[in-house]
Amino acid sequence: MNGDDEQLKLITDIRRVLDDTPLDADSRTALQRARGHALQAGRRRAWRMPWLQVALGASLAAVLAVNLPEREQRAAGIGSANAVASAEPTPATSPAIASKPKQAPVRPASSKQEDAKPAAIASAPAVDADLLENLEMYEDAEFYQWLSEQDVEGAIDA
Amino acid sequence: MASFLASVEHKAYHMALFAVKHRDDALDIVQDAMLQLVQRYGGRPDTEWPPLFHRILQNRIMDAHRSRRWSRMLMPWREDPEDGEAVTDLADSKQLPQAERLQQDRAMARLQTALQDLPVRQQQAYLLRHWQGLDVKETAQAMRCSEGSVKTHLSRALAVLKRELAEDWP
Repeated sequence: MNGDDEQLKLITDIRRVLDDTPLDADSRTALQRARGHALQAGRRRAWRMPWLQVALGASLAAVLAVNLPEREQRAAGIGSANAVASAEPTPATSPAIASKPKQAPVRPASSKQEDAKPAAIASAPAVDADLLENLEMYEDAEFYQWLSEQDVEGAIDA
Repeated sequence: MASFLASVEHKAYHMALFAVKHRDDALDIVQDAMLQLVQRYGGRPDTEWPPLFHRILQNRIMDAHRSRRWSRMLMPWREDPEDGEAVTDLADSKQLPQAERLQQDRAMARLQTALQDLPVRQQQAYLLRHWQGLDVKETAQAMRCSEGSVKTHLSRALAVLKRELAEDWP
């Protein structure tokens, strides 16, 4: 028997003795308990993880739903305001236009509906400057239309 | 996972017991290894479990070994818990016939003594390679060392075991 065979036999014998080594009852019970504990902890974790994912997803969606439209509005308001500001002529290039006084919005005092519109616009955090300007012009036209109708009725009355 | 743990727990316990030489510490090590495998790697394919489990087990064994060495250095007056406990825990062969039981007890006692006296790295390399059946590469991965180191550990361990078990070995 050469050295390799002896070594192989030794390894085989050691393995056989180790394999045949029984566990005492206490150790076996303790190992079973440890295994059950580990598996139970794994099940608890497996239950917890989907719940955690759903909760995180829902909270993230809620945060985005609240914040994203507001941000978009602000970004649009800032962008259009910048566009208006850059499109406006400077006083040095067109003094005549720049010196022209801005026309104050004229509204009929009796109309409640007309009162509500500017209040709503003023309460909005981000207001599109172009939209506001167009609205003012529209209100002016509407007011003059209304005024002309009043004049006609007044003339008939007179 | 349950069947895998059941299949490895016996050998894992004995490996830990050989290394730390204390029953409760060995049980703690095996339980920690099982817990970590289930919690961290339970979702992995079952083919990956054996190397992961052996790696975790080796880490736990080395952690326990290091902490014991530190406590022995820092508090040398404290009683060492490993004295005279491990060997008696392993053998429980009352069901065998008398002569066979005596022979196996003696062989087991000699083997346990020889294995316990090995340096931990040599001991674990030997048990992983020649008892658990891992190849050299898997043993190196489990022990976080090179394949060359594993071969060196194996060669030295075999030389010591051959010398220690030369007489009265069945």
